[in-house]
Amino acid sequence: MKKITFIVSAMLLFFTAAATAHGPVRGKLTATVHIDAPADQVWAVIKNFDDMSWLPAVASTKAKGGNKKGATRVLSLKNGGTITEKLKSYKEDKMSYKYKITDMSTTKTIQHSGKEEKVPVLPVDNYQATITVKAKGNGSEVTWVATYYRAYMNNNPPPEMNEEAADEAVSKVLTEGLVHLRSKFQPDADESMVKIKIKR
Amino acid sequence: MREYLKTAALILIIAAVLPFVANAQPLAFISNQLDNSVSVIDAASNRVVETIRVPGKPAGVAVNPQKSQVYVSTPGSGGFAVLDGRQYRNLRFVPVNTGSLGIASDRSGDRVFVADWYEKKVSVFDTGSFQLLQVIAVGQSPSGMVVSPDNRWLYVANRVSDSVSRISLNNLQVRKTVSVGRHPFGLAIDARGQRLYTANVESDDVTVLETRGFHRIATVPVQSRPYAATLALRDTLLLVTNQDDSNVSVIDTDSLREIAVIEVGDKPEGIATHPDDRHVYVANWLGDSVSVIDARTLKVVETIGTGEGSRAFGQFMMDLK
Repeated sequence: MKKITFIVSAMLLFFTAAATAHGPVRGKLTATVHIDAPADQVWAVIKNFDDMSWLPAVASTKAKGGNKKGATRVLSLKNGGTITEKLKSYKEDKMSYKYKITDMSTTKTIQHSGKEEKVPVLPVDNYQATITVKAKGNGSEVTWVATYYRAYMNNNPPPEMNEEAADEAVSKVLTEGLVHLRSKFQPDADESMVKIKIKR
Repeated sequence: MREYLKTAALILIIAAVLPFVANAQPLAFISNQLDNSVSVIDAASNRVVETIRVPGKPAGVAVNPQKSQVYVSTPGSGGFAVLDGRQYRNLRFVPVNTGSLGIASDRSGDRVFVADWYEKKVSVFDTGSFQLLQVIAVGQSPSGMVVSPDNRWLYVANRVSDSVSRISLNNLQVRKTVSVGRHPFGLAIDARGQRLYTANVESDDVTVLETRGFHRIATVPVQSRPYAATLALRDTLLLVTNQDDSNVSVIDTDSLREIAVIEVGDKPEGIATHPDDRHVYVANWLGDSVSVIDARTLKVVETIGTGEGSRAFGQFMMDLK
């Protein structure tokens, strides 16, 4: 029995390694939610780059540059971490803006393959995202597209820094944000209303 | 008998016309990472004529006009696919290593080089047998590669080592390695093989090297996260994709200054020049499209829908004779 358990865990280990031994490919996560409210009203909640109070994970936002390309914001998270972001493009007429993460705090340092690895608060690398509001029927649709690599760039990443960890963390943040945004207009908002599509 | 003659005449006409139809057929092979496919664009009409299924998150592209083949690296499956460039078919898969990304063919069409992102090495394959000929040790995270027009040198960008290695194609030995900007990715070389350009992702600039002594001669600032580069109009212009600004920088190779910035699709990555030396094709990863730039007017003249995650890193334009 012991032997079988050993073989099974060895196999599991093998499959886990094989599943995460991906090449340097960027992932694309699309989160969408429908809200029964006019697009301009929904946009009004999220349109200011210096105001991330609608995102539950954020405790406070310190920003400069307003809604101009190149503006920056530092998000202080409720878990104590910080994320610095830069505004890459802002399209008021299309109710859309694009930003990227330029810096992040470390949540912990782990040992992996004989090296110290710093796990960033959002376990991703080269993260960029675009959030857009569009009128749809009588309501609106909010689309949030994030693109990123996993945090670990070498082969055989540790579980804290692999693609699954990246996808899970990004999914969580975007879902929470869209649920909370919807809840400002409709009391019934919950996670099942946010559609998540991940491609890599 | 009459029917037979008619058919025979028709065959003769087709046989006579075919070489002309096939003559100088410019094609672009665009790898779509998120769709596991390659879009074939007829670059005369700018239409997608075929979509070839290529599993394994296709990324890098290299063309071999001598053998009418196209090689597409597939980091998801650790190797590269061999495509028939005339029949638009996926012929076979050649396993290499998990980090297979950058890919290039030599000018005679005899060998194909595959850079391994994880292993600090470049694998050399024979394009007849697809047997591994040799493994060359290079710097860390080798990515973009280019072969000199005289077929004597292979240049490799070592992304994490911030350098470019020059490899002799006679003995497959590294001759010299020079440091460039931070995280060089794509490379471009001029028609005389005298100048080499590197797009440096982390330092937001282009390093210009002269190949005779293999020295750095200039650094040209561009926009955010430059990815790859190509030359046009008799090497007078260098066009560079800027991933994070969704635009292309145009550098005058005489003054070595950025003279224009052209908006293209979202997250532009691979870039290559049409055989007419005037039109430049840009694969937009997030735009799921290819932007065609006229280098004379510096304007986007066409946007062609491709597949999701268009990457096309490398020499993806082929002129079939």
